[in-house]
Amino acid sequence: MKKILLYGLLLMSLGACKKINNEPDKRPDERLTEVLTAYQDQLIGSPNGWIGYLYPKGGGGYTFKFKFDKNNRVVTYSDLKSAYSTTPKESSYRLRAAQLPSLYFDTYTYLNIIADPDPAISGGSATGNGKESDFEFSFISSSPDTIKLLGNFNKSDLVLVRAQADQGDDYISKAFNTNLLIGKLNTFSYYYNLLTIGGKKYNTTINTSMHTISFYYMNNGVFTRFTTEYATAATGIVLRKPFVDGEVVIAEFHDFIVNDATKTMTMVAGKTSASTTNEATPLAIDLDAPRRMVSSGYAFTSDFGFTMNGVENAQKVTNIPGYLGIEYNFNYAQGYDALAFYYTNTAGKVASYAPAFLNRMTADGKLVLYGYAGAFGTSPGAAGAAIVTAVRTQLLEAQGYYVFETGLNSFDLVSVKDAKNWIRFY
Amino acid sequence: MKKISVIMICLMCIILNSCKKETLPDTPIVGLGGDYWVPGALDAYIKTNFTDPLNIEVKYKWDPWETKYNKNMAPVDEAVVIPVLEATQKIWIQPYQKLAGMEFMRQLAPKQLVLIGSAEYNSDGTITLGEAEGGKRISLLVANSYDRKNAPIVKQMLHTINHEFGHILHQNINYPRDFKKISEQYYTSSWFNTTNVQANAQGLVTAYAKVGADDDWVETIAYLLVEGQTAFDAMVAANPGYAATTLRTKEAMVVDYYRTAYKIDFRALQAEIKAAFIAISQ
Repeated sequence: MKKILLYGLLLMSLGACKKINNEPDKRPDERLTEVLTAYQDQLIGSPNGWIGYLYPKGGGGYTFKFKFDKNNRVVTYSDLKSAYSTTPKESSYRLRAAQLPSLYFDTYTYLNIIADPDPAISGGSATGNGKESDFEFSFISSSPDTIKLLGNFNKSDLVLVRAQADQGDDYISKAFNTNLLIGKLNTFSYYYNLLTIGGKKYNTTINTSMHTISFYYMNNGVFTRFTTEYATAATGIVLRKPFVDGEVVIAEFHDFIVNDATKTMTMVAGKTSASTTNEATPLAIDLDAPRRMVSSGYAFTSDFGFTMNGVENAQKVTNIPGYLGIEYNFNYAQGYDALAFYYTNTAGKVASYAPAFLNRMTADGKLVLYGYAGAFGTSPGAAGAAIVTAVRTQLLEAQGYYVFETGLNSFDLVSVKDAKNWIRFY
Repeated sequence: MKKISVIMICLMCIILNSCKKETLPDTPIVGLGGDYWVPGALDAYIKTNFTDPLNIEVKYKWDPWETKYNKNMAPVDEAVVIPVLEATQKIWIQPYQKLAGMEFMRQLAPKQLVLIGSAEYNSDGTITLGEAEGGKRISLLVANSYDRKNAPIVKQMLHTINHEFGHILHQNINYPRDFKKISEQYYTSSWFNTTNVQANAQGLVTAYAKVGADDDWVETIAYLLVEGQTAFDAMVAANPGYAATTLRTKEAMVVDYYRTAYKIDFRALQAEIKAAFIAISQ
C-alpha cells in the first residue's frame, strides 16, 4: 500500500517536472494586429464582395451588398429603397481593436439609415433610438464563406456571406424586386392568404416593410403563430429561422409565380411545391393578439393607412397636405387612444391631428374601437380633415378587428365585417 | 562563511539575470497609437487646412468614445465634411485670423473638432446639437443636416464654436470681475426651465447664459458675433428698462475686453463674420 502511494507520488513529481512554456510567442497587441489584418484580408479577399443580412434588435431583416477594398473604402447596395438597390454609396470602414475585434462602418452609408436616431430618417421611435440597429460590429465567428457579427451597441445580428460570381452588382436590385413580387400577396382582394404545402394549410402574411413572414394555424385546437424575418435573394427569400410543423419544413421559398387574375401564387420550398389562395375568412384567430398590442406601450406607425380590396393607401392619406405619417398610441391621454396624423403645416412646422377614442377587447379575439370623442391637435384643413375622418370612421367600425402579429411590435388589424379592409401597424 | 558564499552566489545570479537585455518593440500598442486607415481626399483636405496650419485634429470617422456611448447616433456623411469645415474656416477662423493674426489662432484654437452626423436625443425629449469639453474639443452634431443655405443650421453650428472659443479666451485672460455680479441673481442649474424670451427679459441673451457667469459671458460673445448686432439691438429694443441696460452693459464689457485683452476690434470682427455668413449662403 505504502509502495503504491510512493510510486504514485514519484509519478506525480515526474509529471510536475514537465515543462510548459507559458511565455507567449508574441505580444498580445501583435497577435491582435494579426487577427485584425486577417479579418480585413478576408473582407477584401472576396472579389464579388459580401452579401450582408442584417437583423436589427428592433426587428425586421435587411439585405445589403458590401464590397470592401484595401483603402478602407466600402461600396454598399441596400434593399431599403429601390434607388438604394441600384445606386451604390461609397463610404469608409475600419477594423478596430475594441473589446472584441470589430468592424466599424465609420462614415454614413445605407446601413446607418436603420440606426439613425432621427425618426424622420429611420422611421424609428421618437426617443431617438432609430430601429435599434448597429453599425459597429464584433466578429463572432468566421469561416471562409461566412462571417457572423454582433452589433456592439444594440446587439443586432449581421451575417456576411461571400458573394458568388453570379451575384453581381445587380443582385440587390433583383432582391428588391423579389420583395416587390412577394408583396403582391398584399394586393389581392382579401387579407387572408391560405398557404397549402405538403397537405397542410396555413394562413400566411408577408410584411414587406419589416421583412417578416408569419404562419398562423390551429395546432390540436390551439392557435399557433410562427413569425420570422426573411432575407431577400435574387430568386427567392431565405427565412432567418426555418418554419417546422411536423413533416413540413420551410427554410426558404423560391420560384414565385403570381397569378393576378385568380389571386393565387405558387412557389417552391426546398423541393416541395406550395401555393396560396386568397380567402375571405381566417383559418385561425389569435385571441390574445389584441391584448398584446394594446398593452405593448409601443407607438405604432402606419405609412399609408388602410388597404382596401388590395389597394394600398386606399383612402389617400398621402393627400393630406404635408402628410408625414400615422402614429397610433393606445391609452394616449385621459384614457383615450389617439390616432395621430402627422403633417408639416404651412409654417413649415410638424403638427399633428389625432382623433381620440376608446378600445375594448372581446372574448372572441376582436379589438373594437369606439366612442369617438373629438381630436387632439390641430386640423390640417378641411380637405385633410375629411381624409382623417374617413380613416377614423373605417377604424371605428362597430364589428371590430382581428389582430395578427407580424413581427416585433408589428400588428395587422383586419376588419371582421369585410376582410378586404385592413391596416398594418409597425 | 558557507552561508555568505551561498548568498553571494544567489546575488550573482540575480545580477547576471538583470543584465539580460530586452528589446522593446517600437510599434505603438494597438489602439493606443491612434487609429489607422488609408488616408483619402478628406484626410488630405483636413491636413492642409486644419492640422498643418493650426494644429487642429478633425475627427470625422465614427469613434464611439468621442460621444455619449449610451446613445444611438449616426456617423457623419462624407459628403458634408468639407462643406461643414469650410463654413467653420470661413466664418470662424478667417475673421479672427484677419484681425488677430495667425499666431493668435494657432495658440488658442481648440485642438479637436469632432463631427457627428445626428443629434443626441436626451431622455427629457430635448436634443443636443453641440458639445465642448475643457477648451480642447468641440463636437459638432447634426452635421448630416448641414445646408449652407439654411441659415439657422449654420448659425447654430457657429454659435457652438464661438461659445466654446469664448471659454478658451477667458480662460487665458479673464474677463472683468464686475461682469460676474451683473446677473448673479439669475444664475441657476435649472436654466432649461427658462425660455430664451424669459431670459432676454432678465437681461441675458439666451436661457443657456443662466448657467453661470462664464457661460453668460461666452453666450453674450457668441450672440453678438453669430446672431449679430442687428439681432442684439432688436432684443434690446424688445426688452426696455432693466434688461436693456443690462444687455448694453454686457455688450460694452465684451467690446472693451476684446480691445484690451487681445487687441481685437470687436466691431470689425462682427462685420467680418457677417460678411462671411452672407458669402457662405450664396
